[in-house]
Amino acid sequence: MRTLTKTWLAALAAAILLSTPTMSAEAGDLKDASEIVNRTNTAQYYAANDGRALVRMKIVDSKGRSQRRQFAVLRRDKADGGDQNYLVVFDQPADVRGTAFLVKKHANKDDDRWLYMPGLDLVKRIAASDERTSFVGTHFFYEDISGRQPEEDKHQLLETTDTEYVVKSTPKSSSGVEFAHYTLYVNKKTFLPSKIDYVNAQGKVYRRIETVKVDTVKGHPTITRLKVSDLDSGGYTLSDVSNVEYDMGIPDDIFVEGSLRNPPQKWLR
Amino acid sequence: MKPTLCTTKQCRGGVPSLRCLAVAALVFAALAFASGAFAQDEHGAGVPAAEEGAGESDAGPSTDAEGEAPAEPRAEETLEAEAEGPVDAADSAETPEELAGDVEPTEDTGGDEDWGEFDDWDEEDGGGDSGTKAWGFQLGGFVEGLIAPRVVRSSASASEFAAAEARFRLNLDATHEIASARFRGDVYADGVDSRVWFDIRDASIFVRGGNWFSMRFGRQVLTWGTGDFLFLNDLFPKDFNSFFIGRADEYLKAPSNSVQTTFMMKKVGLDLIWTPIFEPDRFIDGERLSFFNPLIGEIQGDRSPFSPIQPLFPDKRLRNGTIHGRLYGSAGPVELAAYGYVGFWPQPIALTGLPDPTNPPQLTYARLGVYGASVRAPLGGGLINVEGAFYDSFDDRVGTDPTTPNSQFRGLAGYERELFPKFQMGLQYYLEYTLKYDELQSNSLWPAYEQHEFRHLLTLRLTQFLVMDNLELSVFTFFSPDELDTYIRPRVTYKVIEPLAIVVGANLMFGRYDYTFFGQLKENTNVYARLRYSF
Repeated sequence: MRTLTKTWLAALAAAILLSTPTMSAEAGDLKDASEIVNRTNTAQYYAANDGRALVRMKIVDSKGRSQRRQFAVLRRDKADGGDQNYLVVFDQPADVRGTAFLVKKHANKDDDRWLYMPGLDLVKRIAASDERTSFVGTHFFYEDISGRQPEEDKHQLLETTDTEYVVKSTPKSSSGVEFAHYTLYVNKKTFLPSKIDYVNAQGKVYRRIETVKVDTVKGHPTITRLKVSDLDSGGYTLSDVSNVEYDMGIPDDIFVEGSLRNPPQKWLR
Repeated sequence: MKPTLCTTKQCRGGVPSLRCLAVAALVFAALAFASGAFAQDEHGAGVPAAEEGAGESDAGPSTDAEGEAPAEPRAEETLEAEAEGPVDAADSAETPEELAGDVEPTEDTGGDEDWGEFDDWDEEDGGGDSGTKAWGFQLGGFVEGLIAPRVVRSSASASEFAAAEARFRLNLDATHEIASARFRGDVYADGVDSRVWFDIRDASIFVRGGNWFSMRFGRQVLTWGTGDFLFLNDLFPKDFNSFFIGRADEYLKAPSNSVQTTFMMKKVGLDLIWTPIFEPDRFIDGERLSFFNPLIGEIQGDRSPFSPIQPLFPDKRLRNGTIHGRLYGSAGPVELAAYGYVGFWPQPIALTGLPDPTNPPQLTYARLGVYGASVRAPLGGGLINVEGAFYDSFDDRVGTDPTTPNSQFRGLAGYERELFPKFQMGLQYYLEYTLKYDELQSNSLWPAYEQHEFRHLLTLRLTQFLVMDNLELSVFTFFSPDELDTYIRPRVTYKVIEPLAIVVGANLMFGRYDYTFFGQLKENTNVYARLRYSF
């Protein structure tokens, strides 16, 4: 069960599926790379004010062995680009069914996270952890799920095509990151990333995240299929998002300890 | 081997009503399940995959040892099926290059077999995607084998094994928007005592009344407090036998038949739990694990005519029930809680009378009240927790009665953080301060064996995750600098393939003296291997 210690970020996976629409006005191309990245962050992680989704992941390792993860996510934003609450309830694999995470994501400080282990009826608070390590045993990192703060990188607009912006992002501090830079391909209409290439110090792309499918739900373009590949090992993880709903009116008071023990079925189903 | 069905060890101690309660709860849960299934049909929502399981639930938990046998081969079959899986996956696995081209984000690359698999995922597994259905059902569980040979010579215990068992667990859940029913039941064949045990860990109904009130009643496992394997304000029953023989961590907590009510007001919550019939710990009674018995002045194991210890239980009257309360809330990232308990010491550490050759005393449970508080907050990239509890031994507040434990203050301070990626460390300092110690010493029946006025305990937890979180290395160590004893729990957990996990570990107890908390357990030192197949 402790494998899932970091599973809370799953919550954030929800964010991935919940993407934003607001910027579809074609008022000419943007020139400011930081502006593009900020809009991408909002589009990808802050769609609507609240949302629900069912996330299923298939993990395939370099030897072709596969595993599954399945969880439901509830999210409520306090402010776009700011604090968010997440509740994540695991359904698969079988040995972690009923395990749940409560995440209070903070824009400017460490998140508060709790893990519920049903066998022990234990609500365990979880310390802050490295954001660039495997999220619940998948090829996603926590940071892929919860979003990387745009201010952590310097952004440079490399190219503007008919459909995309291409932005190179270089970390301001190399501590805690394994990449030298990454290249972000952003759809000009939806501001959702279509691809992210992570480049190491040798200039080689070793890791890639690709958007495979986008659906529009209640006017919000939403990434519903995503693939992350470890190009060195050949392993990859597929993420499929379904049952998406936005602006359900999820109240703030369900993001409490009691909801870990007894998940609020009214909002999850 | 004569199979004996029993809900708990205490059955043999003459508490048949526990069994009745458990069976009643089971029937109740099964009925709830059946009525849920009926409601679902009414809604015309079709037959979910889990419903067949719901039918089995009636028979499953009540089967005896034979229930065990069919489960094992099934595990193997599925294992083979799984093993074939990777071959297919490898065939269909796309290379990263195939996907390297620009993907139009508004189109589905539908031809990919990998993705197609998601479409029928729900049907296979019953899933959490219950859509508009009124009731959701889930069936699950595991089959597990555990073997734990003793590795030190023991004169007190005859058995060469601390554990040798095959276990079948059934989990059933029926959930509705405002109510749910839950069942967790184990059947296990125990090679150490040559019995078949039937242990219901949960058979409860949950009801929600808006966002401010909820209630769970029935048999359930309960936990609270901030300690890691140390419980100050958590007086819910523990199973210390399970803890020391390599069973999964969850078995440290034993169930009780209780009513839990929760009130939520803004950021403050109140839990009140009533256990009408006192449920003690499943303590170490000498039969499976040996312990130091101060009455006889030596380590007592299954060779002893006094094993297992059979304490005198409080009368089953309502006034002998236990009440647990917790008031909790948070101020920013800081969590605060206050706790209260009225009931009995959870272990039989009192005597019914002074030793008398003609009328030997029995061990029993003394009355106890516990009042405490805890704080938990982030600090320096980790978490700090502080907890205190006052153990008020009602019947011997002056501390002069040698048959009744003295009051104590218990304190805990802990800190945990991730030192390196996927490497976590947790440190705890724990203190037991026994009040009226002079009175205790001058009246004690065995002053040499009494624990010190201040008992200090340090714990260290180290955990490392490797291989995409599929391999976990961990060690948890207890060490008491004043009792000079230690307990080390090294463990390796490997998830071989998805449903199959193997755990190898050890329970290593050392101590300079035979009568200290961990030192008395040293002859039980064991290594273990556990194989679990989850479904």
